[in-house]
Order: sequence, then structure tokens, then C-alpha cells
Amino acid sequence: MTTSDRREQLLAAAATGALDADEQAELDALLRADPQAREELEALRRDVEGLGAWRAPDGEGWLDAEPSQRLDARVASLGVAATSGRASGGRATAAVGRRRGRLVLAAALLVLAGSGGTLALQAVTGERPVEGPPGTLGAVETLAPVRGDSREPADVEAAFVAHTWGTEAVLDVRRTRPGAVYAVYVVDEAGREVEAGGFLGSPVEVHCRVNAAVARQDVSGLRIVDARGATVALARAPRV
Amino acid sequence: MDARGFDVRAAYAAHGRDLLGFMVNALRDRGLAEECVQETFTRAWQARDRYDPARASQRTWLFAIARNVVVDAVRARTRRPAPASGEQVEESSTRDADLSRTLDHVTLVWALAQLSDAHRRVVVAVRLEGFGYDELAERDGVPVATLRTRMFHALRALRAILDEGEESR
Repeated sequence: MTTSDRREQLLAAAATGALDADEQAELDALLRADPQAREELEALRRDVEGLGAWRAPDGEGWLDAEPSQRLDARVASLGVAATSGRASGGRATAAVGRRRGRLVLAAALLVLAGSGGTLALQAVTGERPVEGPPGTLGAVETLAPVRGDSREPADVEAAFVAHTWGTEAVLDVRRTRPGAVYAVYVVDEAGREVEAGGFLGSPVEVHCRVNAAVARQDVSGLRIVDARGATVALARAPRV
Repeated sequence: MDARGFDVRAAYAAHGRDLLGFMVNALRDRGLAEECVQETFTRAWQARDRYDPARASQRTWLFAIARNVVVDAVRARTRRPAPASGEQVEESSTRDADLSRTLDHVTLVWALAQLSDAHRRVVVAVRLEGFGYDELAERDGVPVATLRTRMFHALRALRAILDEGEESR
């Protein structure tokens, strides 16, 4: 009599085409004695067939991935947003509201995400928004974007917030084309563009915050591009 | 923590790595995958009032949201300007078929990501990477019999996840 473990091993090997001649004979005996085993085998074969949907590039199996510190910080700031009673996030969310209030909130979240307890507490309790010249950690630094050559519509207001772990771009974008793809890059002093994130066009004003792993003192500006790579908006930031 | 018990940080600590694994393997774009993880937790927070622990575990709920996020990302990535030539219909049809295959791949990866590491490892190695059980046994130091038992249970678990996902669509 076939044990439960042996039954499972035979069925799995049969479904994946790995039986030798002796095992095939053993399986045949099992199938004759156990009608349910045949049904189970057919189900397993269908499961294996379903694996044919795998479409990774040739030679690539499963990629193991550990979350980056940047992702940890982004989700942590979302948790802070939750406790402050406002739903918000580092990626695009469509919202309608007043720019100034959102920017202050963004600054508060940024500081909480990694700059230290005292400033964070001040920011969240609203005691005093962080202020200072460009490059001041947590302070909102308004930019003056100009229109690029893209045919995609978009009226962009933008600000930078410096952080210990990089630079955050705070965007309010109106008149986007619903469904259009927009990508946001932070440009460093050497002219290299570091992707900070992206958003989709929306019927309502898009409010989003994206982050780049570039220190504010190394940042020279911001560029938003459309799906074709054409510039939607461009902003220069003062040297700090 | 929310009244229903949804704690963003705790949920991220428990499931963030597996969600990222799903997205990295579905999208093959690390930056986009991380954005999708963040978007998943943003949507989860926004929908927290509709989450019912009696209907699904938090993990199942987050993975359901994550699949929608990835499908949105795939559709956005494949959206291209319509061709201007007379081959428009043919190209559109090809594009639709390609998108359909990509979404099937996403669903499979979504289910694989929810397996235990040991179960996923044997399925991926034997069926997707082409290892024999003997080779895998030697590589991982696990007996062939154990690997076959794992394969049996992994395939059944995969079936259950896909069936449940189909019902919830």
C-alpha cells in the first residue's frame, strides 16, 4: 500500500514529468487502486500547465528583493500621515485643495520621515513650520517651472524639500490629460537625471510628492517629461 | 492604529517584502516596483474602513490591492500613441494580445509571491528554471522526496490562491 507521503511524491513527480520507469509502474498501480489519485494528477497537471504563463526574460528566474531604505522611509511617512489624520503618500494621488496647506503638511511628513524627533514633533503639532534658505532640512522651497516642448498639457507648480536622505519634489499639477504618463526627474549638478517617480494625468488636480536619492546641495533642478520623453516642465533650483 | 486594526507600519513590516517580491518579478523594474508597493499601502490606508478581517486576512487583502496596482502600472506602461498607418488594427490586436499575456504573467507571479519561500523555490527551480529534482537536491541539500512533497503542496496552494483570486475579481 502506498503511504500518503509516497502518494504525494509520485503525483508531484508525474505532474512535472520526473518519473523513472520503476516509479511509473508504481504510479500505474496507484492509479488503478485509487481513482481519486487520477483526478488529483489531472488537477496537478493543469496547475503545471498554468505555469506556462511565466514570461520572464530568458534565463531569469525568481528575483529576490529586499525593500530599500528609501521605500522604508516612504511607507513610514505614510504611517505618520495616517496618525495625523490625513491620507497622503509619496506617489501621485489626485486631490483638490489649497496648495499652501498641502505643502506645509508635506514638509511636516518629510521631517518626520528621518530628520529627528524635535523638528518632527514641532512640524506635526503645527507649532512652527520649518523655515530657512534653500537647502534647509524640511523647509518648502518654491520653484518656478517653465513650460517645455511636450504636447501634453499640464500647469505645474513645484517645490523642493531637502531631507537627510535626498530631495523631495512636491507637485501640484492642473490641466493634465487623463491617463497620460508623466515622469519626474531630479537633475543634479552634473546634469544627470535621477528618476524620482511619476504620475498619471487626471480629470482633477494632481497632488503628489516624489523623492530622489540626491542630496539637495547636489541638485540643480527638476524636469517632468511625458511618455515620449519630451519636457513638460523644467525648473531650476538655486545653488545651496 | 486604526479602529479596525490596520497599522501601516506593522502591515509593511509583515508583508512589504513579499509585496515587493511580487512587483519586482511582475514588472522587472525595481523603481516602478517600489512605487507600486507604496501605492498599495496608500490605497490600503484610504480603503481601511472597507476592510473586513472576517472576510479575508490582511495579507490577502493587501495582495488583492497590490494586484490592482500592478495591473494599472502595466496598462499605463504599455499605453502608446495610436499608430497612424493603415496597419493600425493589426498592431492594436497584437498589442492587446501582448497585454493579455503580460497580465496572465502578472497573475501567476501574484500567486507565486504568496507561497511560502520553500514552496515557491521548488516550483520556480523545477518548472521555470529547468532544474531536475536531483540537481536541486544537490544544490539546496534537501532530499528529493522532500522536494517532491513540497511540489505537491505548492501546486495545490497555488491552485487555491488562483481560485480565490478569480472569485474575488
